[in-house]
Amino acid sequence: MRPSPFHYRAAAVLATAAVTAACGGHPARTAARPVPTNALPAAHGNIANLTWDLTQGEPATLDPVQSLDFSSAPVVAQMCDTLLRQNPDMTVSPNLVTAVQTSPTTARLTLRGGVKFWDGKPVTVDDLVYSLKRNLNPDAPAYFIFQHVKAVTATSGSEVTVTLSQPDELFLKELGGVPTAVLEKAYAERAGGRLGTASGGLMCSGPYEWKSWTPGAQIVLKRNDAYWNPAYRGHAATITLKFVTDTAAIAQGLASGELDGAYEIPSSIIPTLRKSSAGSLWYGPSTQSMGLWVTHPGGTLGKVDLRKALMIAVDREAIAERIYHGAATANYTALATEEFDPAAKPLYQREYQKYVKANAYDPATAKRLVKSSGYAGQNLVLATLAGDETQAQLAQYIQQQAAQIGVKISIDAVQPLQFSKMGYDASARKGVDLMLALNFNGAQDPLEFLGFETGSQSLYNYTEFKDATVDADLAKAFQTFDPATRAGLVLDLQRSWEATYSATSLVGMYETSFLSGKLTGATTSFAYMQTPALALIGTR
Amino acid sequence: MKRLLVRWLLGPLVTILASSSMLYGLLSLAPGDPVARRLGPHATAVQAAALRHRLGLDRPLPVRYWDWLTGALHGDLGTSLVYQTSVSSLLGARLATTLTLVLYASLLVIIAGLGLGILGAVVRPLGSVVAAISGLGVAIPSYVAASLLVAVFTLDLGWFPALGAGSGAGGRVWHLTLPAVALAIGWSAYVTQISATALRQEQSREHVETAIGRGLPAALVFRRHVLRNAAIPVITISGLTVAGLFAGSVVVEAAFGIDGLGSFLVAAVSQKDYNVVQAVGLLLVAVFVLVTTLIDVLHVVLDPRLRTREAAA
Repeated sequence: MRPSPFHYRAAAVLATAAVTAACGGHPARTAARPVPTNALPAAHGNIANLTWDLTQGEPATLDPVQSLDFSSAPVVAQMCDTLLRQNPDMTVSPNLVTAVQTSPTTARLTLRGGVKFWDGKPVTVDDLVYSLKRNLNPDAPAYFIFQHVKAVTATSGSEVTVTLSQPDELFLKELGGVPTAVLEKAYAERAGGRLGTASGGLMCSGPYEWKSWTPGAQIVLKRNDAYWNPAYRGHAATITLKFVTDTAAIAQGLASGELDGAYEIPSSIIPTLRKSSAGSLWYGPSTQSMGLWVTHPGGTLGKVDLRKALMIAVDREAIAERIYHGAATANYTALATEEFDPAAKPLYQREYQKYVKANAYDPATAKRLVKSSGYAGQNLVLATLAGDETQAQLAQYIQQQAAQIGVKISIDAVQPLQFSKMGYDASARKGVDLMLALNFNGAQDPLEFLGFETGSQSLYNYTEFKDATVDADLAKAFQTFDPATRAGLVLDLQRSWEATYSATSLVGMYETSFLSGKLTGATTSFAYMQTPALALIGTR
Repeated sequence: MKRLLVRWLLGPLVTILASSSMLYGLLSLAPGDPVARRLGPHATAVQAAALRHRLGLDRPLPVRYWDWLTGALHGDLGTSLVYQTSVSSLLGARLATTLTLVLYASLLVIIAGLGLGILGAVVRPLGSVVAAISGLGVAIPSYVAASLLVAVFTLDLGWFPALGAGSGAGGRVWHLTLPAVALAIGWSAYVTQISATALRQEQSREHVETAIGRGLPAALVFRRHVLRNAAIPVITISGLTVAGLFAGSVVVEAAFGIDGLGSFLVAAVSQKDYNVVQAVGLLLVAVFVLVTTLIDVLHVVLDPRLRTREAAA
């Protein structure tokens, strides 16, 4: 099993407006395709304040080790330096440390000299070791990144050595994640359980300092004028983070200029915002994808033919254009194409073309498969996240398309906590046959995703897929540092797994953001999640 | 009178206790694992069980409720499961916001609702116009009103902000104007209809017509005989309005991005944040109970018959 930091099961988009009717049949293709960009032209001028919305609501905590979601990670990323930095094009560079793989099971982290916390105290290897070790607790949400870590020791005044119990090609790639951010040890120990809460605060070394968190109202950050990296020194003197989640309110706030911008714009308000004169919508590459998952082995959906029938009965291009308003692209494998390893991309792409053909929209074949599966009119239950308009529309579309090939589906909108529970508890998935789930990754590496799905012991292997060759390939792939050799192993195991139609990613989603017309500099790719992206925003 | 006092003091206590235990029980029946959010995206069943144990969520329900109840009686509302800070520190700012919003809206309801009702009853020719306006008002849901108001007063005219509750007294009023209007429209119309009907009914009563026939000044008759007698249904509906405004604030707060008590309660319920749900729920129940008790008291003050009946019993 190989976990990933940002492979997420529940996007809690709270939306109150009524769900509009899903698109009927196969809609006409109209909207112009947006061109995804990684970043906007650099900003030159400073601004007094940047008002930014967290569209998924107020974070529960800003303790770095707990900050893995859309609300918390991007806020911590403005304040705390991660070990490595993910650039707008999703490549990884040295940040607070330079990391070198000294052997398959050891990594050496060299701390940048002269970096100071906001209180003026220097960042030391003690702080680094302390911060990393907080992730070694099996209760820590990012433990899966660190599960093979045997020891973290300071080997000199500027060096830390990490020893692993087995080789892990992903380990270094994941060090750009927010849970690796370095805190001041003395401050963290004093704060105890209040660390990262509204009353406990943080002490980090990033481009913005914690100013205030008024629960229910806003979080205010102020620029750290002594920040070590001139490239990421903030343009805004303060950043005010708001927690507006209602889709109509988000649209109104952005259109009226009360909000300067936001990431994770809900698809349902894209048409409204396209017409706004206050600013523009931007689309960037992202590892986010929306998948359809079979939730248990056996039962009616135990037949692979029926699973495949459902998955080819939906027109993914139509979903991308009509339900996601162009902010997504069709995807024909469970693995989203944005998760391909950039170091071996052609290999992955060539293989992918075969799936595009095999899993293309084909209702006639789907009908035939339904018949050969022996399906006899049983009702299938499709679970979606309650309150998410886009998911509701998608579910209705799937229901309609299934009806056209003679398969009955009923939709069960599940409350967020129950939906999350379905991710790890088979008893919560009882009575449910299919579920829609949002996934996202921290690093561009297929293993991050496949490690969670394909192994016989994997966390999200709901259909209990078991193949000794796949298990062996998976274990070997994690120990293979050469990208091309690894790609061979990955593609092999993917082939076996995709053939079971246990899951499919219907669309890969763009990161959709909105920025005031007066501003520029924003990172528009999904890299914004783990970097001080808001520091880059200023006037032209 | 003693019996009345017992009813006014004991009744509310029993109501609050019963509703708090029901709230606790119902929340535990709702599906969902309260620790799911804290565990993050890669939770395992083992992690979930460990965290539930650490937070004491695996203890029997009555034990947990008893713990909460004794804590609450000592003024300790507990810690929020989601925010990991004390519930009372989370409530303060939100309570102030929602109270301001509800008071502002109540003021609008009284001025517009009662004013229009009296106008419709006194100036007979305007009666049908008032009825038409109030009919329209009752039919507009507050979230529709919110969108319309923002479209006109924020996006077109730029007079009022679309989001948030503002800071400082002036900022508060400025920010909460549109939300308060959106919230007040429906209830104002309702109060207009009830008060116009009640006033007209009193106007046609025999003793009123007699008084007018005997040449008493119309203003005096209206004040002493019409308004006072019509006050009972009007006060009842006004009291329920205030309580209803608290409930309605949930929708308006969401529409205007205001983090008040209503939106906090909704979020807390969906995250099964027991202590927060209990605290906010109790606060709302207390407001309802307080308002209905107040109405009860006012009825007795206004209607001497109730006093003699109670005294005789």
